[in-house]
Amino acid sequence: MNLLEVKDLETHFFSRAGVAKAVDKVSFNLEKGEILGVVGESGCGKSVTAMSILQLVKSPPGKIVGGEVLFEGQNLLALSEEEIEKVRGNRISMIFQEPMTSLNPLFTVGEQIMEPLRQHRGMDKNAAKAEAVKLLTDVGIPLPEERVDEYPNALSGGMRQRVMIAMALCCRPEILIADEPTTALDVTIQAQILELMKDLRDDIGTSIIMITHDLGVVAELCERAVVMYCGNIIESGAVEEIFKHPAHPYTQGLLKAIPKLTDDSNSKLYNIRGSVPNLMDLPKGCKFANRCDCCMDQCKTSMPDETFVSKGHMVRCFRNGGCENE
Amino acid sequence: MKKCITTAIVLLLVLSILVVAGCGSSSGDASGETASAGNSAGTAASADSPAGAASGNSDELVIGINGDIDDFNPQTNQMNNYLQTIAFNCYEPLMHHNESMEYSMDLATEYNKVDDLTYTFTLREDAKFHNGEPFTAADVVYTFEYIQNPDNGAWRASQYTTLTSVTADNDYQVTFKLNEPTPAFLDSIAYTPILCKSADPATLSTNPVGTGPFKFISWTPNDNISLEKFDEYYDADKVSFKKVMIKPFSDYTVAITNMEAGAVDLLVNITPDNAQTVKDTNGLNVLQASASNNLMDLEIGRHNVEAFKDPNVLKAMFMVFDADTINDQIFYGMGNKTVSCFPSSAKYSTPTYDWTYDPEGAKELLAQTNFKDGFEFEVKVLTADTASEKAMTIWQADLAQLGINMKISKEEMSIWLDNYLNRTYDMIANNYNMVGVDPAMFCSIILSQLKDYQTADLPELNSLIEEGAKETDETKRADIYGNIQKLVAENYPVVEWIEAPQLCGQVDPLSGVQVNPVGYLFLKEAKKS
Amino acid sequence: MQRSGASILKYSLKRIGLSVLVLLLVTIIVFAAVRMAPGDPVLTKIGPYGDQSQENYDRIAAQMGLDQPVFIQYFIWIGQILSGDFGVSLRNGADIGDLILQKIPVSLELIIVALVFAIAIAIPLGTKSALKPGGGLDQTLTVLTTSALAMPGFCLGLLFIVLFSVQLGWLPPNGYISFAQNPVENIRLLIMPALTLGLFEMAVFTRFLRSETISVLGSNYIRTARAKGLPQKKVYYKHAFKNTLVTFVTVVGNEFATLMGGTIITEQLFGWSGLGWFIYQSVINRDYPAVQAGVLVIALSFVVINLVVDLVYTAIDPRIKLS
Repeated sequence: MNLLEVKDLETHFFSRAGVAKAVDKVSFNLEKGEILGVVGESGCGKSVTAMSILQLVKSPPGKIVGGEVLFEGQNLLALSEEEIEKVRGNRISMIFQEPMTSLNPLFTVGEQIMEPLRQHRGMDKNAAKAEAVKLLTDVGIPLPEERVDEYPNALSGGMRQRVMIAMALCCRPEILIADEPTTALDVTIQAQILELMKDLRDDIGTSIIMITHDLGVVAELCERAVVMYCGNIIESGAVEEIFKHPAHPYTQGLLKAIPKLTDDSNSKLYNIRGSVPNLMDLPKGCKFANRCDCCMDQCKTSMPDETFVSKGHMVRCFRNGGCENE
Repeated sequence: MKKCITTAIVLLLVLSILVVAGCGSSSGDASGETASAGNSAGTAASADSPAGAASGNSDELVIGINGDIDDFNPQTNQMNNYLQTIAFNCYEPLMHHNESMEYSMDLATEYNKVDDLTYTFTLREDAKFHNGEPFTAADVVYTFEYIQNPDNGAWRASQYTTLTSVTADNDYQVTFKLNEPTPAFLDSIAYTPILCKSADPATLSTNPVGTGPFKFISWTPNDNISLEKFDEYYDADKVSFKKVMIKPFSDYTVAITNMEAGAVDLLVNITPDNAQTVKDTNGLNVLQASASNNLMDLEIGRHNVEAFKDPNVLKAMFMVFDADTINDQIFYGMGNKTVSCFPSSAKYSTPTYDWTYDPEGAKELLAQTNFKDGFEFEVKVLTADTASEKAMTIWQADLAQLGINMKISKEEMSIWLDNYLNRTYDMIANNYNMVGVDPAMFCSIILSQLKDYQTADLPELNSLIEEGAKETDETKRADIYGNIQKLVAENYPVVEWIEAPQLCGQVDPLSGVQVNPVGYLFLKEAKKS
Repeated sequence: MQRSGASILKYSLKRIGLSVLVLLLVTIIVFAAVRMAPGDPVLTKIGPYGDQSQENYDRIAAQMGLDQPVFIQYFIWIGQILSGDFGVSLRNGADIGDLILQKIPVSLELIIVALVFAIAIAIPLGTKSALKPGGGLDQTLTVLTTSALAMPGFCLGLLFIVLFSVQLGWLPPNGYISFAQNPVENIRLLIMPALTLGLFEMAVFTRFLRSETISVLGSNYIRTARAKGLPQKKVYYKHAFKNTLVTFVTVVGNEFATLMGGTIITEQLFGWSGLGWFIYQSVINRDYPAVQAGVLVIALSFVVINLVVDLVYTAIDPRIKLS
């Protein structure tokens, strides 16, 4: 059985201006111990998907309108607020993009790490503090006995993200959802954090859903990946397979857009023409149609179903192999 | 859904306020001021639910006054709220004017005019001061020495310029000697409180010591003045209140509400509008003096405004001064039209004013002057003087018909006073409460002050004023004051436009409060049933 | 942590030291302002019927100390202040220091009770209504607070008097008695004026807390707290609230300081003889030393309140340093 099964998840945002279908029937699975990448550009719905899993979407204006999220067989979306609080931070944790503002500036680092320990594990203050110190060591923060009593403003961005990770893993969750955790950090720190996450997965066995727009991160860290566009998953499969044989014109475009050292420095950078459609005014048919170089008439009228190009490699495209001209 | 809740709440709020306001005003529908929701509930409530401190307490009298008293020295405080309450209930004069303006004896038992320059007073022997000291002639001597000492700044000093000596013949007899006949002398005596010679003069302003029925206990600024019955008062058995509390109010609407709630028994010096409210409220009634020496006047800056130098201009202006309408609208008919610049209760009062309202005649008259095209001027009114302000507004409309543009400028006390004392006005509204019946007072306090200003060109008037002050022959006096009134009426240095009623508001159980035409209260025999 | 008793003391002294300059400036301004206003205290004392001669004028001016050149008057006054003497009233010679000491507790009682009432109501209502913006509670509160803010204090107070004193007869309409003298009566007399003042302040605080809480609830650290699985109550009342407190303390401090001299209308309506009314009366009477002393006291209270607010900040928010 899969650890996590997301089935036809639909999350919409309601406003006076209209309804934005941020997540439009998204389905994917996560297996025990694997690192899954969720790739896509800003606004494609990857963060909202993640937040929906833990019912963290801001409601109003957002609302999960359909689908199921089966966690070890139990539908998380059907849980009450009290019930899902027991899951959050305990069996499924989440870390976010902006480490600088994700910690409460008025409480010490130690206290914030202690909170889930005391909440979910029922630890008393002293035990929780000792554990917090140990966790800080695990995430590679020097002098943890001193750090534990410091306030977040005394730590750098990288350190704060490590604290976030410590906080997220303190109850040994089965799944860690990481929403662009390294985007706001500089490259060297980024590498360190990714290393850290991989090590922790190896030590503790936590599955990771890694949300990112950076294909480099996917390549380095993830075993499998799904590619999202406009609220849909348009391609999924093993990372190596997707990188070597991208099947969707969008994925192909993304890979082409990565500048290579061997490119001629005078040639223009490739970018996918056109722009993402308005989520409130989605076109009929394939949402990538207006930007696709090999769009067919069929593409404009109906949305392609999931088809398998090879074992485990899914794509939603009538062309079933992308555009011929690569 | 969303809008529904908000609308519902707003409506509920408005409704509840209307209900409270409607219930709260127990005035009848005649006033027409408030919504009639809950009127029946309103009338029932106020009559028998007094809540406050003084309510059913018949031992204590609570008096509301306008503004606080900050100086308890009777010789330096000239404010109405002090003179009407403390001055003649904590202190006493040798004698005072009762409700009919006749002399009623206090610290003196009788007086004798030996001759034009000499007066003797026989004093009562059983009076005591609040500090236990017995009252003797020495205190009278001390009082007048105090008044005549310029360092003390006593404002009555100008009434005693002809007084040369005050001597104690014995412990209970005093002789006053003047250097000139002063017919107004007795009136002055009737309003001069007697000081205690053994009281420390440095504390006169904060701790008054007199012989009156109520002794001063304490003053909490802007809060209250506390008085208690003086048990050793010579007429103590007539005094029924054990305590008197005086509370300053800056707003009389609030004060009247307090009366309704039972926290105040007597409200001094209320306006005619207040009187209407009081009349319409259950449990309250209006106490009005039988006559009034309270003249509302306009001092006219003839020395500052060209147009005013021509008496015909002023005559035309006053021909459109609608005294009847003003009396009806502002004073609800409770005032009296003036007959001359003296109050009608004054001696030698002669009709010299003509208040016939004649806009046509006024136009014709004005057309014959150099100002037929009209002109502009400004009248200064004290902010607290709402009656004058309203009268001026009515007159302003009439003057506009003549092409005369009158601007009304409201000023607070200090600024108004500055203009008044320096006579830097085109016209200024004031009111003068004449103390006594002898017109020499009015002439010296009001008219003489103008001799360097708007009466500088009326030498005859000024010399008549001086003569009248010392003339003793009745016939001659009548003649002099008759002429003075005529000259004032013809030249308009001042115009007294109405005798405003002396009004107090009181709760129904209160009785025995005496108000004389000057507006002074005598609380000796007041009681609550 | 970093804050020790000694460092707090040092900081406070430094602040007070700097404030002396501000206070000095205040004295100059009020001294000048009161003399520049039209209206002459000497004439006000003489009154319409007093002796208007020049000698009398000069004599009274000398008594009041107003015959000296303005600079000299200023230095004499400053000298008095520094030795703790606030001077005497030009009207009746009463000691101003005594008068002010009498009035400060009156104003303080009213202000503190009103603020406590306002805070006690605003905190639960303001924060709760922020949890469901646009909901029933939120809409009700918006209407009520807008009305409270829109209604002039005089109007509200008078309505109370009509309702509670005249109609229902529950409360006395006017007056003040100190708590020491008669605690029960003191409280009965306190209810309406504190309500009148307090309702307005409650409206201010509720609206502020509501918007501040909404803003805080949108923060990333709140998202983190929820993601940790902390129960809603804990997220709101532990994490969110402490963060609104920093700016809330500023607002309360501001209101407190403003109210020190701003209670005139309520005081006058209910016959509470406090600092506001005292200053107002002194201005009307052109009682220069009284006005000067009163304004100085208010300026001083501003300084003290600001200092206390800053100290409270640093206790709550570790990002702010005592420096």
